[in-house]
Amino acid sequence: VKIVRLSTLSHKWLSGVIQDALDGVAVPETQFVGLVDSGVQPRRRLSRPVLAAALGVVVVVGGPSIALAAGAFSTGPTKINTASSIPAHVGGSFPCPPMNPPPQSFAVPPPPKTPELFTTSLSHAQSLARFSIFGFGQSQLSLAKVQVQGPTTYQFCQVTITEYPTVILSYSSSSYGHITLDEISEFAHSNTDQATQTPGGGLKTLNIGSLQFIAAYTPSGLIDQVSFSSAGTQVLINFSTPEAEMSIQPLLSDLQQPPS
Amino acid sequence: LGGAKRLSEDYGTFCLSSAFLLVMVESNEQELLDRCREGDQAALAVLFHSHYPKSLRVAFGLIGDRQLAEDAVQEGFSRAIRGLHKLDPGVPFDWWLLRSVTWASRTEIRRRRPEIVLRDPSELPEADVAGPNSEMRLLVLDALRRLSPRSREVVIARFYLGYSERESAKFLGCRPGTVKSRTYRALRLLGRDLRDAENKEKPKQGGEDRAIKYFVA
Repeated sequence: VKIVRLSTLSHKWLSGVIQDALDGVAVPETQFVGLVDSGVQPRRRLSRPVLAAALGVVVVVGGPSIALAAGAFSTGPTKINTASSIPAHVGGSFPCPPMNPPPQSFAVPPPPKTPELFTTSLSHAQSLARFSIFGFGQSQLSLAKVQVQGPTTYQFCQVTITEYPTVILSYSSSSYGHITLDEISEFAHSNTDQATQTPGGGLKTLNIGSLQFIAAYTPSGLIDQVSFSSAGTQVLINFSTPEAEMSIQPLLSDLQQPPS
Repeated sequence: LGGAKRLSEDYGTFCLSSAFLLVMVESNEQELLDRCREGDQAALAVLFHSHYPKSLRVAFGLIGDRQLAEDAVQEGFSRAIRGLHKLDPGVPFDWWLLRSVTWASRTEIRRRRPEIVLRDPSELPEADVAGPNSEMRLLVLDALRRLSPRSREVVIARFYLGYSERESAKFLGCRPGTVKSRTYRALRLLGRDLRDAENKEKPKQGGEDRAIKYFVA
């Protein structure tokens, strides 16, 4: 008979170090993200937005471009069917129904023909951010247009947006050239680790005060712009890209100023 | 709760102070749950924000990736709220939520198996861990990531949440014997990675609190 000593780890010590390690994990303030898309099952499509609306955050509604945008700050590509194509211009209130029975019986309000939400004043949009579904599309409230010109190879730039108050940002491109949305989503995802290892940068970090994600791809120069939208008032956008030339064209100059 | 409503109405945000949330939750969780069942938005916000830190840490320990963990917490919270009508009165919401988060984390792991190994604090994407013990914390998190997902679940349940074998089994939906065997295997692997750290930090000479002591070969 041979006595073999396997481990000397003690319960008490191990509990201590594991608790210390996990309690040391930084917990930023977060927002509850609701994602809506027609490709998702109804129950799944509506339950999170309902909760998100209840928790006072933006719910994103839209088609492929919105799915891609959502994928930039959440785990979108697996949650959202990018092949679906519901109208992107959706806005309106979305009250929180009772949670029991499950909320799949509640329908999203029909989209208005004109996205008034994004043409109203900033303060109005901000006040609506709590209980509204925001639709982002071509008529979105754009803070800046980013024009990217680069070589014919894939590249990505890192965009860091800081000091925005309470809203979720989305981005979309006016043209994707010959690249399909799925390819772009996959590309964005495949670079997650690479991006997150960059000091101070990363993909789809959703915090109040900081949002970073992969932004632009320029195959053959076919992608001409990337727009960022937000209902916030304090949005400072810092761009850094090692390879591409980038210019920033503010569309709404008053949005660059902090609120009085 | 009225305060939360007023805050939300006045400031357009649910970013309440954590202390305020904790007081409210601890004193009136049952009332909060009742209000959540009725669709009360302020109650939902209080529940979410008060339970978020611990849920995120559990998910982070299970998944090892911050973004996926954040999403798992939100999905888990969503599931927990959807199934709130199934929650027995005697069961703490904390337990119910963490179980749901664990389930959601399993789904995230199945979808994407992140293999992120962080060895240097400078490689951290955004200060995942901080403080004077960051090196040790990284070592522990790294050791956790080396475990299989099921082993991580057991370790989190036993050593972070402090559940017994029986409680862990109920929490994870398996038999106590399974918990025991997974704990055994996990500790053996953790011991390989952490034994040096333990000896350096606080040498011990065996005792009743040894997780795995000896076996007869």
